[in-house]
Amino acid sequence: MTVEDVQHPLVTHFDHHSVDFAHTAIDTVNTLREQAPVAWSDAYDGFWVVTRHDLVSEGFRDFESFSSRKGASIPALSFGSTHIPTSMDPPQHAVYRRILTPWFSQTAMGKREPWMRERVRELVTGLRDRGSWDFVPDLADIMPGTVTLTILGVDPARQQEFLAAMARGMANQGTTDPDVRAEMERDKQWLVDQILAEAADRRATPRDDLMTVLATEQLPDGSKITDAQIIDIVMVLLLAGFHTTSGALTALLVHIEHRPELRQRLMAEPDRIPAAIEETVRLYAPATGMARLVTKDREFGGVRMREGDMAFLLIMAASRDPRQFEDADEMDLDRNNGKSVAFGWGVHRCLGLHLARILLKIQMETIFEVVPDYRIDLERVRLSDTMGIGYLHESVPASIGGAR
Amino acid sequence: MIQVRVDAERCEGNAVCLALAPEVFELDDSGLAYVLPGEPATERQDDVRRAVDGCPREALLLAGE
Ligand code: HEM
Ligand code: SF4
Repeated sequence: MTVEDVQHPLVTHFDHHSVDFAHTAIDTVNTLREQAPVAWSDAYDGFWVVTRHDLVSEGFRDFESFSSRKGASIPALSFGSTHIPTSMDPPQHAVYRRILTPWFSQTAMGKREPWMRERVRELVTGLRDRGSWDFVPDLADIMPGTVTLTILGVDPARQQEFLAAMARGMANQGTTDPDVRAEMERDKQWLVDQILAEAADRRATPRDDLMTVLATEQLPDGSKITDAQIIDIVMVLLLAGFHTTSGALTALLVHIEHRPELRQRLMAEPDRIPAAIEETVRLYAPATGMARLVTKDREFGGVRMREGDMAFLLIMAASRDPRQFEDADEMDLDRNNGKSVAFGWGVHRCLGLHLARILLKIQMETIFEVVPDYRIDLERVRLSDTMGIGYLHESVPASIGGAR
Repeated sequence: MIQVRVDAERCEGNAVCLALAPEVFELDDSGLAYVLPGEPATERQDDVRRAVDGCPREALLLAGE
């Protein structure tokens, strides 16, 4: 590469939270990646947009050059403050990740599978009885939060309230309306109060749940996890799994509705569902991208980055990079997705990936089994106007046999 | 004493084990995990178990309980 490339990066107005982006997300990321593996965006306070698969993986892997300490979002999130473990670098990151991992491991999820199946079956049977429904609020948005709250040990009777407050907070992330902002503040305060009450309850009467561990665990330096940190961890757990897993379910449902032969195949060969899920999260990034702080001056992907710059590792672009994935825009159930960055890479690789995979599998199997003749009303399917967090649907109306 | 082994056929090099047991695992030049020399697994049994459990590819194998 020439000195000129390094000094004159492609400058764009790339803004992953804009409505324009939401309407053209896939085209935009595919075009940008082919224009420049790393471009500069002048949106927000300015940031590098990293699009090529090898560079995105490298950015995730190299936590010394690309630090998480300014958080993983551009602009920074309003919920919570320190974002544990998302905003931590090794070695501190490991202290918390070690506490959380056993609760979300493949073994732990396997133990909860029968219970998850039961809950999903109840919900889908309810949809069948109603005859028509919307997959987004009526199934996709319910289960991820339900499972995480159950792992934490929150009483099932109170989970609905938690989920509603979270949903309002997420839906209005970008708003500037003072009334809505005030309501969000109230929701947030309510959640904080609830979390603290749960933690206090577990200190008094410990149980076999994650909240008890958070409230009582002794850290290697002898200290306890503070109240502020507990709030933070719980918020991250709830937020991180909520729209991501929901987005993946609806993306797969809509994808196969457009391709009846693929839907038929998955119904006939349910053991192909996990492969379809891996392809779905690759093609329709439930997590659009992750931010990092550049910690030293360096050349990266043809540009000169400066210490203190922010970089956005654009998973959505990397996941369709034809250099890594042959026929990258196609769903291929036989593809080897070993290098997929849909769940991130490196030390922050998704804590909830076993939960997401198992839950998505259960949901698809149950839908095929309980409402095999469901039809999605493709004309009324609505994509979200904000794709900055992930490729999301706003509404996926469906009914049995297509009757409304 | 316990021993841990990386199944190179399964390992995808995502470095989750490094996050959970940094004293035990490292990535080699081809991007796959390996166990650091000096029986670190025995001293860090809890971390190793978490890594075994946390590996998204089930590429870590425990031996000698
Ligand atoms: C299809 C569903 C999901 C996708 C695509 C996804 C994607 C991701 C990605 C890309 C990261 C990396 C963040 C970074 O590098 O900064 C991540 C981290 C994380 N995810 Fe997920 N996620 C999903 C579901 C879940 C679920 C269900 C949970 C439930 C608790 C969860 C919890 C987390 C947590 C706690 C982290 C932070 C891990 C750390 O910093 O060490 N995710 N996820
Ligand atoms: S966690 Fe598993 S797949 Fe990832 S690097 Fe370690 S051994 Fe390999």
